[in-house]
Amino acid sequence: MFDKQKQKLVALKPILNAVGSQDLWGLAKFLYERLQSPDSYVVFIGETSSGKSSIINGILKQPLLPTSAVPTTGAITEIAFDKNVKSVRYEVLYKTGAKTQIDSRKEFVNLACKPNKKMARLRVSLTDSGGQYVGLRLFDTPGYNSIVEEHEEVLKDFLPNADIVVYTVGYKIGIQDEDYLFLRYLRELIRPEVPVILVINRCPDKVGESDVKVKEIIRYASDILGYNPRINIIRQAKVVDETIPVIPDAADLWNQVNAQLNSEDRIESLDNAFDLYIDELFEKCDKELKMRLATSKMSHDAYQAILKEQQNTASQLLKAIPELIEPTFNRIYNRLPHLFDEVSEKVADRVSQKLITSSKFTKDETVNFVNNFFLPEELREYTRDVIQDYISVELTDLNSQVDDYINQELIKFNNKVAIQIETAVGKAGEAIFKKYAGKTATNALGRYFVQFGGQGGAGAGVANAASHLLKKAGDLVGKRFSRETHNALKHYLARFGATSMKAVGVAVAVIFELAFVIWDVNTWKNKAKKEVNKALVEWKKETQQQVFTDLMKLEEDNKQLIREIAQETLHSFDQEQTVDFEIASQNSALADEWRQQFK
Amino acid sequence: MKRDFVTSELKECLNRNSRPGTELGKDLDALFSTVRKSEKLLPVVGTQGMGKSTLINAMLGEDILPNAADETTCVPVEVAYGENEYAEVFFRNSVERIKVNTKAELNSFVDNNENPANEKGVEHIRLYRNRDILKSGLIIVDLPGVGSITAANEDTTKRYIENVRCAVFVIPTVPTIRRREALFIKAAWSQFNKAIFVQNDFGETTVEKRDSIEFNTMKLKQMSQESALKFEEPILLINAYQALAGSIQHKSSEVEASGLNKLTSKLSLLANEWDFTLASALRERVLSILTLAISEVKRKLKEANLSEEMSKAERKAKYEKNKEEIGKVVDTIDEIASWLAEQRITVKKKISEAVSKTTGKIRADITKVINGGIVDGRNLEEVFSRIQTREVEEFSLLANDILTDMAEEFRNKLCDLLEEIKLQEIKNYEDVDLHSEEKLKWEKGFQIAANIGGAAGGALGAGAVAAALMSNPAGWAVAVVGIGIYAVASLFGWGVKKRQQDKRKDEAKNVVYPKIDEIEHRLVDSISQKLNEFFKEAESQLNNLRDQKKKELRAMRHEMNNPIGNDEKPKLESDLQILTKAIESL
Repeated sequence: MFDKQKQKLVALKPILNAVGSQDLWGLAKFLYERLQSPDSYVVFIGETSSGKSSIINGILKQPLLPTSAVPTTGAITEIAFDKNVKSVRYEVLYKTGAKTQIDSRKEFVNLACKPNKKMARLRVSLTDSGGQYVGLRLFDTPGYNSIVEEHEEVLKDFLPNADIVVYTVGYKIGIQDEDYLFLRYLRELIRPEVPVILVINRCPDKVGESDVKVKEIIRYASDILGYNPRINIIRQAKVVDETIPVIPDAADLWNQVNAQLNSEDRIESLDNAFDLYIDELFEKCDKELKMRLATSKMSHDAYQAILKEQQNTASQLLKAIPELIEPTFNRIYNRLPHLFDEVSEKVADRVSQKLITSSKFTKDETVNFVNNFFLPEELREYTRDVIQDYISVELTDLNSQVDDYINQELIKFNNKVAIQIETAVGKAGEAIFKKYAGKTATNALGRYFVQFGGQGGAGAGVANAASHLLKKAGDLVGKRFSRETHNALKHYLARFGATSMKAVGVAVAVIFELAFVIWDVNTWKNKAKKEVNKALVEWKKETQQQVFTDLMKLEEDNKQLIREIAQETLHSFDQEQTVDFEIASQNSALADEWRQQFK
Repeated sequence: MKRDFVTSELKECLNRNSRPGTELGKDLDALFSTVRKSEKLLPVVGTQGMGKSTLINAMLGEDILPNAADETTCVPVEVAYGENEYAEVFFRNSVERIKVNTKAELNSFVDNNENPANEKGVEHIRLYRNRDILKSGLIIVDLPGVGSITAANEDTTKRYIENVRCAVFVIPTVPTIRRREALFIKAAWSQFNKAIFVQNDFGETTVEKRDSIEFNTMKLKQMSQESALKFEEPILLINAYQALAGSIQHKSSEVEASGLNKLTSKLSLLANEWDFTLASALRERVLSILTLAISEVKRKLKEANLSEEMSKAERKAKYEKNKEEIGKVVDTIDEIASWLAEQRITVKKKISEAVSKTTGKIRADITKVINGGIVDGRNLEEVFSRIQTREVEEFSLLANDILTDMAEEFRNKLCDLLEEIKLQEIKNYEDVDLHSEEKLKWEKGFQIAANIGGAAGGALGAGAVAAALMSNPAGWAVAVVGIGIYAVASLFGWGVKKRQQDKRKDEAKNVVYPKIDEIEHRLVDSISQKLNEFFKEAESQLNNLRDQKKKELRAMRHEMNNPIGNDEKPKLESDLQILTKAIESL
């Protein structure tokens, strides 16, 4: 598999040698490793009661994961396959990146049910002597509430890397409120091309896809997802021996998963991804060699002048951070608390109005209405209008400011260098330069590398080859308003909305349920109002924190982007001038040959 | 420019010197006869409670329009200049007109309470007032609130959409522009193209006002970028109450303080500009026509001079070269046509997917709510209405993006095509700057030349296609919003019966789900219709263009075999004289 890409990569060796950069070598080696065993990530999601873990045991045909009537999975558990493992190995991976081996299964089970805060996840490595599961990684995740409390960050990082998502729902209970929130969340977080398999678990014997309840589940899930998932029905397993945990028959599901993993579409998208990474690597090399060629005949002084310009430009670029990025984000941070106050006041008001205008004899209906629809809906609307749109306007504006600023600086730099080159080398050199200048390469491969944990870093990193191709926000090749940027921002904000929904779901539902029983006709309105206010305070606290966290991450991402661009500019020309025109020429020709052959 | 400019001598001269397949004389005639004295309609739009009626009253210095806090105007009210002050009521389905004189009489037609849901079938009302602001010919129109530029009132508002150059948008200071309003603004703005934004000052603090204007300006800038509209700063801040009071009490210092004068001066500039722009647009079209003819005459003269010297073989070679080049142009046209055909399918697919997702979301959210036990008629109605409105709004934003993207790409291809045509023609024609992108920018409201369509030669042909484009596809998404909002209407009549919870849940679902299917159909149908219109028009224009080029080639072939002789020169020279004189007289 991916032989073509391996070939391409191997052919890059002489060029990498010519360039002689440690970093680029590192990236190349990493890429080669990934090509040898591309990872497939299958993520299992669903409420604890849905029976996910038993299903995974069913797939593995062994009672590996702990299951019981009581909610068990509190940790994210990774199942990997390693031909070096004799039967099974248990490990703990920590948030710091460190990992330790666990000695006994008992300890594993303990941690699985009651994880400690420093854990990122557990990993079980099973033997794979046949080598058929190379690169396959299954992830069992905790139920919704557990995620909300502990693991949300991790899941937010995880899901965009999934190749397949298996969503499990129990037949008897069907889709609950938590599932609704989960599925909506999913919709935002997974890449559009990732297939979702909907598993309906513990179905009675005669029940199939034409069963009314099953149809309802499928319909509901599809509507929320905005997509028709593949369906898999798993039967209630027969209890053979009371002492052995039940293992359902999941052979069919496993076939489906494999079919998806090996599907043409997926292979094609990986093909494309790897091609793009290799191309990216090549372009970086080519640029390097061409710059050397263009400047090889330059005088020492002229070259030094260019290096100086390079330095200046890089520092100028970095200024975007304190001058543009920080002020905007600070402004937003300052404004947010007021906006949250505004939202919570307005909503409290609206609910109050609603309560006032409803008849006092409709307690049940009204409370239900407010709880189930009115409150979350008002919150959603006001959040969107007051907070989301505000952030969107500020960030879009920042985006175009940064775009403009960077373009300006790069154009200035390019012009200055072009003059130097033309003076020293003539039009030919200038032509070469013009072709490569101002083209800020993407850094997708670099990001993939980092997320994975670097070379050989199958440690903590979960990074899907296909998920790092997103063009960076703020495409910098002179485009004015980029629809892509607009959409990337929209996507980010949509996820922001997903967070808020969740916070509401948690805060509101719990409170109202408890209060239901004891209210009477004359005092319920006031009580309801109080409860709503309490819920709003809770919402505000939760959501504000989450939004701040998200924004700070976004700010850091933006700054990182600038730093990368500055870095790249700083390395446009090597510190050591290449003066041997012959060699520079030869090397450049090498690159041209590769381009001819492979592009 | 007077009608008598179009003499029969000029017409015949033009027809003689039209490129194959075109009749410039006829086009010139058509141009003049379709130039109607278009009225200077200036709609004032804004969502409920924005105080636009107050603003209009302030502009007129008279408390003429009902301006209660909730939206009461249900029909468009136009105010034009008239020395005698009265009002006329126009009806939808009859030519009858009723004259009214008092405010009470007026209210009986205008006020929602007295004419609920416009059961009296009023189409619009025109008031005549003796006011300076109206002397310039401006007709101020108070359009009913949100949803007016939408499917529900499409017929009524069509007249404003087609003939309006500019609209005044009234936006609030607090709160700043929100999502729902932004949608409405975008939709209406794309119909009118040019907009003046006014923020109503309801007495907020200086800081609030300043922050609000800053934010709204940023927001409008972004909206304009997203929809390829032009945003002219600044937003005007006006205290309409102060202005109205000041007007009525004849206290010009109050009026000054209110900021109203900034608006009135802008409007009088607009009015002056109007006639001027109309005249210059007309002039430009005439100039184009004349230039086309002249370039043809000059070409023929050049031919006549050359053909004496050229051998038959040389003439053939020249023709072959032309054939090749025209062939390339036709190829490009074909490419665009097939791209269009592809797009037709792709866009329809995208829209249909988006509609599916939208109705899925509506259904999911409603299901969740019903499952939660909300089955009471009234509550469910509110739930349904809100969810639906919310999702359809999202959808129309998305649909807008899809269509705008396609239109932009099409426009770019057309511009490239025109460049090619220019390069091709330049070898045979002088003065072919007609194909510049400038010509593609046709001001909204001046449909005159667009009505000529592809008839008048390559330049105007391609321009007309682009003009069809310029009626922004964002407008199509507008219809969608209207439909969504009105789809709710007849949801309930099934009453609230006392039954078991679960059974009621199923009943509720049984009532609601089909309604959602209905929404899906309506969304798809209305957009499909507009899409089909667009593609049909685009296709037909491309066909015109292709035909013309083919005819051109045939004519060249004819000329190759029957070269223009010296004997034709005198006539050509005299034609040149006529045309040159005509241009000079412009």
